[in-house]
Amino acid sequence: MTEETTRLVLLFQKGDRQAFTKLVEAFRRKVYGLAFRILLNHIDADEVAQETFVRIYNRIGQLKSPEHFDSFVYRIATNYAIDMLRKRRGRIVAMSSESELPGSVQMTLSSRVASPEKVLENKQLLEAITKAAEELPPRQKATLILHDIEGLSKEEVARIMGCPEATVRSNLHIARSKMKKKLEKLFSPKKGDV
Amino acid sequence: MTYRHTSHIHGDYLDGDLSPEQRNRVERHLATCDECRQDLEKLKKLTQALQGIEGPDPGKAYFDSLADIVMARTASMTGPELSSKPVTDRHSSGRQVLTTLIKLAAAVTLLFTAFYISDFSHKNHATRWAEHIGQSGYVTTDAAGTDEYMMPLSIGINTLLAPTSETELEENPLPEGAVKE
Repeated sequence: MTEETTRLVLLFQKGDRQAFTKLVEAFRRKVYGLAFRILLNHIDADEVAQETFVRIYNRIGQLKSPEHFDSFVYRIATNYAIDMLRKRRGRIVAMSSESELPGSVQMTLSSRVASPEKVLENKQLLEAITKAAEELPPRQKATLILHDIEGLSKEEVARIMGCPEATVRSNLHIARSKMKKKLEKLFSPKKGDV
Repeated sequence: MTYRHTSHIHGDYLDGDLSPEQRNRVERHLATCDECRQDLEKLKKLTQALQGIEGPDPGKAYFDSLADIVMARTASMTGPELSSKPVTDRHSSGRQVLTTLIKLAAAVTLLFTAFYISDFSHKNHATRWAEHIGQSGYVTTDAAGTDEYMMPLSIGINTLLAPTSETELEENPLPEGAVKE
């Protein structure tokens, strides 16, 4: 986390609303993105994003280490998204296609990992990944997203999830194994690849 | 070295979380095991695909409105230190629940104690009365209510149950040791 963020957090803890505005601006995309990846739904992701910042505003006094503000933000957002996911499970059947996501907000696979001629293949892969991830238990799903998509370290994920690093390792291993199994056909070497 | 598959640590291998010794062991094993090589390849493809997922972009207008909404929602709040939903609220409500539970437990305990004492006292009275009767018989009063005498309880019961005729005696012989008049 940058020194500027730490400075803003310290100002915010003293009651500076302007500092809070700047922090919202700095973290809104991250919070929304994380919530969307967990919930795959713009309306729910929007609720998580709003509620996360309101909770941050209310609970900033509890943050003892301003340098861990990003973990603090992720923790509030993840917990709220997991709660929402748990409440939603059983009510909504996993969305079978990217095109079924509400609104025009959709995830894409980066062109860094796919050549233009593989756009269709990537679309199918993204749909398969989304569907497989939907079937994971909420905490395993959140661990996979935080580590493999958000790129956080296991130590950071442990801090966010409020569990030992060993639990993160274990949840990650299980989540990846399940995903691998579900995506077996897509990831199996094709003829001519080897 | 024993032949053991390394798939359980392929994740840590890719994440660079293994010690040099463990890395060497995995690499030596991969050189000889086709099954583990394929597993590692699939895991690589999965993590690459996951890393390649780009965040959704609802547009600048949405993010601007999000910041406005958050600022509007927090504007009426007195400040970061004075939370509208502070953790202490949760703790104090927890304390209230605990206090209510303790009061309830105390009330239930009192109720049971009172019931037990009353039942014990009643039983005691009944037992004492039965013992008294069992030892000395029951009290009868004459018609005038002046002449009291004690009749042993055993005699009374025996009198009521004892066969009176010879036929009855044969059908229902007295127990051994009983005195036949």
